[in-house]
Amino acid sequence: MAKRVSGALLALMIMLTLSPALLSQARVKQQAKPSVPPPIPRTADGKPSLTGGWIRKNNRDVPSKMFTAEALPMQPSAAEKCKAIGCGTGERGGPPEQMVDPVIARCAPPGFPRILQNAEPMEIFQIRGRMFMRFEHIAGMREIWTDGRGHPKDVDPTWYGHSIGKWDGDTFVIDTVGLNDYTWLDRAGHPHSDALHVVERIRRLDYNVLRFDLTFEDPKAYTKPFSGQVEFEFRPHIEIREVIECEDRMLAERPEDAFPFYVK
Amino acid sequence: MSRKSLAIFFAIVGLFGISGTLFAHHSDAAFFSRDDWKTISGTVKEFRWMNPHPLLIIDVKQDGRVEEWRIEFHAPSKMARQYGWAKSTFAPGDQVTIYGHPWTKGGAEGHNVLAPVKLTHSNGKVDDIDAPNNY
Repeated sequence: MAKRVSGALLALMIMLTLSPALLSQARVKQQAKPSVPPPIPRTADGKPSLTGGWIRKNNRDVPSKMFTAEALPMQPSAAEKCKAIGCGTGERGGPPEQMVDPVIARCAPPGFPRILQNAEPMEIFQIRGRMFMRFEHIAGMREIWTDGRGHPKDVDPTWYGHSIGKWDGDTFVIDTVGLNDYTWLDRAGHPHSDALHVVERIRRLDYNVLRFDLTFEDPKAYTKPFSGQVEFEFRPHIEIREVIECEDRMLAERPEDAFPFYVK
Repeated sequence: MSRKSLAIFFAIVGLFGISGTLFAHHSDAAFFSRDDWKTISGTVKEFRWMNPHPLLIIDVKQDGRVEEWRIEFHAPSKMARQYGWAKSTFAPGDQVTIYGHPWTKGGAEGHNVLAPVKLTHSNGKVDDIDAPNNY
C-alpha cells in the first residue's frame, strides 16, 4: 500500500515538474505557426526547387490581363490590329467583344506567354535536362530544355515556342523563341509577331511566392523591348484537373449558339 | 446646317453604329449588373457537367406557369476542387435554391440566366460560390 502511494506521488511529481515545459512547448508551436514560412526548398544541386503547384497571384500594380501597367510600344501595324479589336478597352481589361478572342471564339490554345496569365493553376516538374510547366487550362504543357543545348537554327513556330533554361545564381532564366503569331501576347489582346523573343527571370522570393520578370522583344510588332511581370503562389497540394475550351459546342446542336448560354 | 454641326451629327450617328455592332454579340461585363440580385427555387431538369462552364437547367414555378432558368458556373475543375462537385452532384428532380445576379444586360437572348453566388442543394448543403467574373 505504502509503495503504491509513493509510486503515485512520484508520478505526480514528475508530471508537475514536466508540465511547464510541455505547456511552453505548446505555446511556442501555437505562436510559430502563422508567421514564419518554411525555408525555400532546394534540389540536390543547391538551387531553389520550383517543383510543385502554383496559382496566379493578384498584383495590384499590374492590370490582371496585362504583364505591365505601361502602354506597350507598338509598331503602327500592331497598333492597328490592337485598335481593330479594341484591345484592353473592355470593362475588365480585355477587348469589349469577347468573340474576337481566339481562345473563346476558335477554341485556340492561349499559347505562350499569355498562358502565364491564366487564373487556373499550373504545376512545375524538374527532371534531369528538362523542366516542364503543366497548365490546367487546355492541359497545356511547356517544355524547357536545361541540358545546355541552344535554340535550333531554323526553328518552326509553335504555340508554346522553343525554350531553353539555365540558372543564374538563384534565378532560373528561360529564353523562348519560335512562337507563332496566332496567339495574343496577353489577355488584353495585344498582338505579337513570330519574331517574339521572351526572356523570363524566375525567382522564388520565399517559400510561397514565385516571381517571373519578363522581357519581350519583337521588332516586327514593337518599337523597342519592354518588360513585365507575373507572380504565383505556392499550392503544394493542389490537384491539377482539366479545363478544355469548347467542350460545350460538342453538346450544342448549333455550335455558333453555344456561347454563352448553351442552346440545346 | 453648318459644316461643323453636320460633322457632329455624323460623329453621333457613327458612334451609334459602332455600339450597335459591339452589343450585337456578347460584350464583356455586359451580362449582368452587380447591383441586381435574384433568388430562384426550382426543380433540376438537367445538369451538364461540361467544360469550360457547367450548366444547370432548372424549372421554376411562378404564378402558375413554369419558367426555365439556366445557371452557369466556374470551370468544372474549380467547382470540383473548391466545392467537391461532380457529374453526380445534381439529378433531375432535385430541389435547389440559387441566389445571384440575373443576366439583364444582353447575351441571354430569350433565356433566363443567373450568375450564382450561393446555392442550396436538395440535402440542405449550402455552397457560397466565388463571385462570378462575368464569364
